[in-house]
Amino acid sequence: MEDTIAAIATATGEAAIGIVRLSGSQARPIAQEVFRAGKTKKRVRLKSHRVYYGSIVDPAREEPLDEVLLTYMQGPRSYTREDVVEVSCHGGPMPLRRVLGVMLKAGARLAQPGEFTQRAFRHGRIDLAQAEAVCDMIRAQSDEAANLALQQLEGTLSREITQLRHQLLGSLATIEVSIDFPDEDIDGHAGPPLVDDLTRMRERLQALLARAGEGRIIREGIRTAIVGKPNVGKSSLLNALLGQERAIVTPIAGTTRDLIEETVVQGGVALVLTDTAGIHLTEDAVEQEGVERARRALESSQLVLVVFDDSQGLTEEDKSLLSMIGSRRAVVLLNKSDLDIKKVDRDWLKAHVDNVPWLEISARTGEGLEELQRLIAQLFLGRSYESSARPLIASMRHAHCLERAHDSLKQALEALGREEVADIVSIDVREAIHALGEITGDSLEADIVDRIFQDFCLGK
Amino acid sequence: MASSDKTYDVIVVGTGHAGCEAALASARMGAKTLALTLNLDNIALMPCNPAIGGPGKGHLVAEIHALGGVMGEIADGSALQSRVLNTGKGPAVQALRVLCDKHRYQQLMRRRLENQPLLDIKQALVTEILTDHGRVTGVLTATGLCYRSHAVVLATGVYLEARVITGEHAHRAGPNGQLAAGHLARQLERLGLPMRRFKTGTSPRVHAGSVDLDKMTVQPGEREHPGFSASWRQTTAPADCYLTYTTAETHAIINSNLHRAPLYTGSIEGTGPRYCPSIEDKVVRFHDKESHQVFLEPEGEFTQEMYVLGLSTSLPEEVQLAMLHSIPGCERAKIMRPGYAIEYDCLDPQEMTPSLECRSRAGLYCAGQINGSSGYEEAAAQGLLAGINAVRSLREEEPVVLGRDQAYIGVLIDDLITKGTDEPYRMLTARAEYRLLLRQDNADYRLLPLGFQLGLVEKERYAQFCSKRDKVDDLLQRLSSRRLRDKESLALVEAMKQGRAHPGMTLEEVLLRPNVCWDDMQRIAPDLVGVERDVASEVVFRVKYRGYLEKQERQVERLRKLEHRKIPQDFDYDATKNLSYEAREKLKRLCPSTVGQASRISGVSPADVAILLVQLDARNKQS
Ligand SMILES: Nc1nc2c(ncn2[C@@H]2O[C@H](COP(=O)(O)OP(=O)(O)OP(=O)(O)O)[C@@H](O)[C@H]2O)c(=O)[nH]1
Ligand SMILES: [Mg+2]
Repeated sequence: MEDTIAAIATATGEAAIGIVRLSGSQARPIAQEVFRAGKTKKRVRLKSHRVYYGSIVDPAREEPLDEVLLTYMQGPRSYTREDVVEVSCHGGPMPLRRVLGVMLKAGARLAQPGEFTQRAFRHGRIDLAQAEAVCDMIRAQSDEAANLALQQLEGTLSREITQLRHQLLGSLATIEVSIDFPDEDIDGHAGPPLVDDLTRMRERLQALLARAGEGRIIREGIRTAIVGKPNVGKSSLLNALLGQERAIVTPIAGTTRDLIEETVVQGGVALVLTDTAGIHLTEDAVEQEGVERARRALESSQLVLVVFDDSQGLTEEDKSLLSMIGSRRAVVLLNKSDLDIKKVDRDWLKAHVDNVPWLEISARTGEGLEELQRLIAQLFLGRSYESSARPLIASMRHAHCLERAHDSLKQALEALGREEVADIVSIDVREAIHALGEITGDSLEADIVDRIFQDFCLGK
Repeated sequence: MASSDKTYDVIVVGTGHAGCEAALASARMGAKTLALTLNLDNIALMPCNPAIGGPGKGHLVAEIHALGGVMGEIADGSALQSRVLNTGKGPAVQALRVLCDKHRYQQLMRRRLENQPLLDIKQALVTEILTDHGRVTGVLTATGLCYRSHAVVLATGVYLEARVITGEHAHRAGPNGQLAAGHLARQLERLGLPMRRFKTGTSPRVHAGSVDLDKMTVQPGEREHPGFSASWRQTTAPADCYLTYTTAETHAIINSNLHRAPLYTGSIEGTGPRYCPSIEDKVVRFHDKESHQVFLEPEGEFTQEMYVLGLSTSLPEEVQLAMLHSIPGCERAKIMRPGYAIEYDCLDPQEMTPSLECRSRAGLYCAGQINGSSGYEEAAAQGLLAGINAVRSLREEEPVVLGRDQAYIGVLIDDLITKGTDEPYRMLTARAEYRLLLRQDNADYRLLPLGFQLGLVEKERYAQFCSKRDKVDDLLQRLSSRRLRDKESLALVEAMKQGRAHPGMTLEEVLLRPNVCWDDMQRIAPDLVGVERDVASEVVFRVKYRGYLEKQERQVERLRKLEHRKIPQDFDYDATKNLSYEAREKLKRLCPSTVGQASRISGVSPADVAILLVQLDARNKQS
């Protein structure tokens, strides 16, 4: 019997709807655990090949995460020939992640790259000639996931996790050495210091997870400010990138008064987009406040999308924006290309913004947005990327591993509290190290023996 | 070349701990077996301290015993002292250690071998393994005699190209002044088996009459003396061991003589084990530590020799003496044998299959230190499996390969052949990822039925095991179905102060509570009084640790799935182009026999495993 796997199945951020897919013997019970039907908010017994409307909740708190359409397909009449559940979410990338999160909590395992297809193949759904293609896909997806994981892990997060794992190995070595070398007079046993150590590490994991929950640390994303004069189409651009009507769009200048923040995956990188109030001089106090915030958003951003209205031509206000970019990476967007009124002076642009690329786009028709994605990927990754949802999944994987590590430490501490014996405590500590090792790619078995001999003077 | 008149099924070269188990298993399974030894008087020699068992190692012995091997019984039969270690650290890591009378151990083993039907035993120096078209056909001895066989088990211990070093003196020899086997090492090299050089060491022995044991702490053995075999009953009083410590003076002596230590002068090239450092190593590496433990252990009933545990050294003999004299209680110690370091050749165990057969030489099995392991127990475990598998291959039966979730023996062999080893490999419980499932006292559950099936466990013992198993099942059933309703029992439960008693609660629920032990249970339900101890302890364990057992079972589940996927030996890794370069190269070299084994090779990623699975499916569908 295969275990049940789960993953986000569509490229988020590009389609308005994302799909979380479950496959395996427990697909239906897991879905039933987290799905509440229609307006009644009740659990239901899912019937095969029907579409249900309702919401996904965190069963611990019955708190709805997203409105969804859910389909249950009993094997073998499904893609993988196992029981499959597909959940179409439309709340954007963050709710999608949370939906996947509760399914993992309910007992599913995060799928490896290509695992759905692999199962479909193994259950005879895909014919033999495709084996090679399946393998190519597994290779490509896992390489890309690994690359992205590396990029996301660069810097502080990676250091933090490596350090935590190192310390946990030290705690485990202390337990192991007392078991494997009972006659040695070594100081260090499963006493109070271990409780303190594990408690401290659990707190650090908790802090990491809290930040991961905000979507900031695990997949930090590029903080991106959309700036421009009123009415140039900033909110329209945000909506177009998100694939949904998130910000209010009107022909009235000064519609957006406050910052609107959303995460989207574009061209292989995640963008934390901030739509801002149009920057201009105004007497209106509320508007003024909005403008001030927009300025601050720009200053704290890593990427600036400067929007000009190509049907209007440049004003002094437009030009003054360029001076605010500073050394930040930026793209100038000449919006409303669908109107085909090229009023912005190209020669002036060439002369004054030679270090910033510019691009014609239409927030209304989507023209030029793909080019924009490529440009951003190039700016940040140094090479062009196929657009995909994978960074989200990779980061999901990390969050999931951190969560497992955290839960294992919690259980280890509970076991210590019940005065369980050293061997029992070690089970959960090992599990925590395993979980962190899945992020850093290290194996526990190789390291623990080394660690024992490094830390302790042993032997006859 | 003169040919002996007899053709054997299996020839075992060497009668150390691996060789003895291999020879006995082979003969007991009905194969005509010849065991060749360098010296008949050195069968089952324990050149280091004569202790058998301890964490990980005791587990191995229990498993050997469950499979029908003899090490456990012989240790019991020659026990001077025995202790159960780790009693406070968890039921799965508890381990028995038996200090043996080293001469008696040898005598008992020799008697076993000599009385074993179908087993011939002979003193001879093997100089060559005979092969024909990549298959083993027999061995040639130094006296020019050739013995034919279908399989050969090499269990040559540390004798290959052995060199013994004490201070500035070095000479070619096996341990305890034995002959070293040189021809064989060179021939193995010619067969294309890469050799590596390891080292190990031993402590000096002193005369019991020359040490002042009163100045040391007594380490008494347990009165109620347990054994590896259930039938064992202690008849003599256990011997004592003694604990003393090195002093600042000892360390000063060592430090001022480091220039004469072979380890530091470079006259030793071999890699030594980290878990068994010499005293000079310990003093250098952990220089903050003011003193190290030193145990004095008796070596037997008919000798005054005592082993000085903790003082392994290859310093010159006069320095060893000065060192000893700086240790409380040893001021007047007389050395009977100096400590020494020994260097020897061994094979890269990655050349072996999971059945311990050489991949490049059909019928050639290797077991023990020749595979880079160290320790009597590790050797015996491999010897047993090599012997079993040599016989099974003659009969064209599937080899016996134990899983990592099934036995420490499985962990040991899988580690050796999959990961190889950079130092003499010693078993540690830390190496077993499913430690809770691998208790010393459930070795019978795990392996005894297999031992019976192989013909190595007698009917009677198997019947005893079955009866225990039934009783355990029965008792578990009773505990979960018996509900407490009468006031008296409920009051007793309340009195334990482990939570409220509620009418209708089962005996199992009571036992589940922390701090409730079997004695408590017997008070509540007097009919439990008659239950045998081993049955009760099995039941208590299963109830108390159910949650953790289930957790480990779940972890094992995934492993099993991969372990069941066999990789055909002719699998073409080059045709599988999506494998990463590193994975492909390693897979080609190590030829893992299951996907599970492949997944443990460093450099083989989960994606490589997935690709392997798909390709194996494709092959299956094609055929
Ligand atoms: N034809 C055309 N119209 C657009 C395009 N993008 C935006 N518009 C229109 O321009 C008007 C202003 O759009 P918004 O997105 O609200 O502009 P904004 O920059 O957010 O404005 P403020 O929030 O007021 O600063 C709306 O009427 C949009 O429909 C485009 O690409 N083409
Ligand atoms: Mg707006």
